[in-house]
Amino acid sequence: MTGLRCADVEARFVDAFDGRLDPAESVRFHSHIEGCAACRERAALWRSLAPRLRDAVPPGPEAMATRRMQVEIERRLAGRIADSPPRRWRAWWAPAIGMVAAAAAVVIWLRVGRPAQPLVGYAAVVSVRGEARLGDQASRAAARVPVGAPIALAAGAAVELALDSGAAVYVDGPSRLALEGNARAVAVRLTAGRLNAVVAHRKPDETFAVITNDLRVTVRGTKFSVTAGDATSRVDVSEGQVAVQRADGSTLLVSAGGTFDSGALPAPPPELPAAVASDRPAPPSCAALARSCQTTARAVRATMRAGGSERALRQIADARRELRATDAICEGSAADCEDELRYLNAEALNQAGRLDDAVAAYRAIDRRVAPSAMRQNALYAAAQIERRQGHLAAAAADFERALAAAPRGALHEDALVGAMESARAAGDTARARALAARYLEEFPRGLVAPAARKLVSDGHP
Amino acid sequence: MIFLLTGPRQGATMNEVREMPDPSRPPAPQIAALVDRARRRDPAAFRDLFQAHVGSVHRVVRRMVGARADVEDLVQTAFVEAFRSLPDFRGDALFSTWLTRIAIRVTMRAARRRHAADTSLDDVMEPATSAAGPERIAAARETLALVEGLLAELRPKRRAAFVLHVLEGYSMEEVAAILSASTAAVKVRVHDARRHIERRLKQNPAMVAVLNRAGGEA
Repeated sequence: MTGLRCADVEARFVDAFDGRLDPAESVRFHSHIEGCAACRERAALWRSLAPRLRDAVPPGPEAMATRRMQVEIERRLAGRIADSPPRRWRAWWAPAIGMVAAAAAVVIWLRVGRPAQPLVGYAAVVSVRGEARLGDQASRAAARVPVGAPIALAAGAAVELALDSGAAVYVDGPSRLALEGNARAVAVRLTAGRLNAVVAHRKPDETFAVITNDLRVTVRGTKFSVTAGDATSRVDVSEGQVAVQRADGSTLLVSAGGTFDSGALPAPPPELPAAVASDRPAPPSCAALARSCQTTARAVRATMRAGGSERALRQIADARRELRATDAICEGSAADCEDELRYLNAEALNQAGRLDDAVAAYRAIDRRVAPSAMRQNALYAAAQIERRQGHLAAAAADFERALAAAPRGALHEDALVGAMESARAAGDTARARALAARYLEEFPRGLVAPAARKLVSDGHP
Repeated sequence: MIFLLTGPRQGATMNEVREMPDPSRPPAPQIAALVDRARRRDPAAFRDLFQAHVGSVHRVVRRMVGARADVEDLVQTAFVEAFRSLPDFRGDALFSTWLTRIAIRVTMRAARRRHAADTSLDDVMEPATSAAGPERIAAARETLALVEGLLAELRPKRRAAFVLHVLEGYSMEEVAAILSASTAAVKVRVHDARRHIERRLKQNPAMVAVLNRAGGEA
């Protein structure tokens, strides 16, 4: 027969199916197969089985998960990147240095009475556009932001900071600011300029404040912006509620949709008579509502993983009915979770194949003041469905809305490509060319740059 | 076919699949340049390498551990370990192969520590992005659950060898390098894994029907 044993032949099944055998090996392999019924039968089985097993490809990570992982990786790397020495060097010296450092820390603690302030702060730079400086160096993505280090942005610059607590701070130049406090008691000192803060998943014992020259803005909710001038400041709350403390110590609450301008002080709201206040029923606990909502969201995800999209939709509907039935006006994690339920609702509709409903649900997320990343994800998902359905003009419009929802979001490039391709497929060549030109401007070495160039030059990708 | 974007095309050999241009990944010379920049701690290069490989690393991790709550954590850990170890990457193998080796190591470590049934709020959600209708989506999900169930029955070392060789299409020699094992040991592991799967399919004809249905849809 041949020089191959059955075990050798079996070990070569995949190589043979994949065309990886050289001619001589191939001849010996097939000679053996022809003469050995057991191997022939087994080869036939695996020739048919292997492609089916390979085709069962697990779903890739969704865009939001990818973004989450990327931010977390950057955060974890940034904690170590602060000019750490090469690994081999560390392998020798790290234990010794560790012991010396520990001894030094003990001495300092004994002498000073408290541990030294950590060098690395509680935030990392996620993205930088334009001229921005962190301390005395140019700010760069993934850099860790030390507590107290001044951050200065030139006009037109923009910086996104990710805090370890999960909050995000978007700063537009020209601005000057610095981080104070610690991860549990965040304080952003904004001496000039404007920032937008999105404070998510704040735990009960965590605080988040923005301090300007004349105000201290303490977060009670999730989403707001602060503009600081030399003597006055302005607070715009788009979601949730913030407490604004003035220099004279008086405090007032500003709720979603509200604005406070320290240059034009409003009259403080009249206080309720004590008797009236005590007659009011105690408000339901927002923390309890948030916990209940999060439990539901967890259950919904598990149901969807098991393929039970209709059941997931019922779970979401029940939870939302309960939330509506309460009189409590909750912000923070309860409001976040409600947003998450809306998003899950759209995903479940999509999974259930109710595509028109899914598109409407995704779009509804954009109409709400949801986090920009979620809005971008939702609009992108809606556009993908529309493109598959052949509704190309609608797809192009939603891709563009996804672009606008988070101009620096994780899906920015994908949304731009989607808008460009959908516009071209819809016959709107002028718009497709404009988008292609924009793509080339923003991603000159991007993956679809060659197609974009061709589209710009002759109208065909 | 259900997973047009990520799955190998019908009839394609795995070699072809691995050589097929992956629209989400730049060509090899660009990857090498990105690795060089990442070695110099260029954050943009880290980001581009992550974007280019997150799909394949996620797929390998998921095939190794199934639909577990901590898939995202494991993927993150694999990337963090890889990026921190870049000074050790000599370029003898493709960056993707080296990264796969780290991802396998991370999942094997996790397999020793954790149970496969835990879930959490941050669980990975399966996207419903397929162009297919709900029935096909359900069928694909059923096949995936079956395959992941079969893989979960294998011991970690056998599973790793089987996933890399049969599903991911690495040669025995490549798998041996990835797993830091001898080629002979890898052959034995793949053989044992194959026998186990054959036995299970023989015991349970319903499994064969599910796989045949999936093949029929392709």
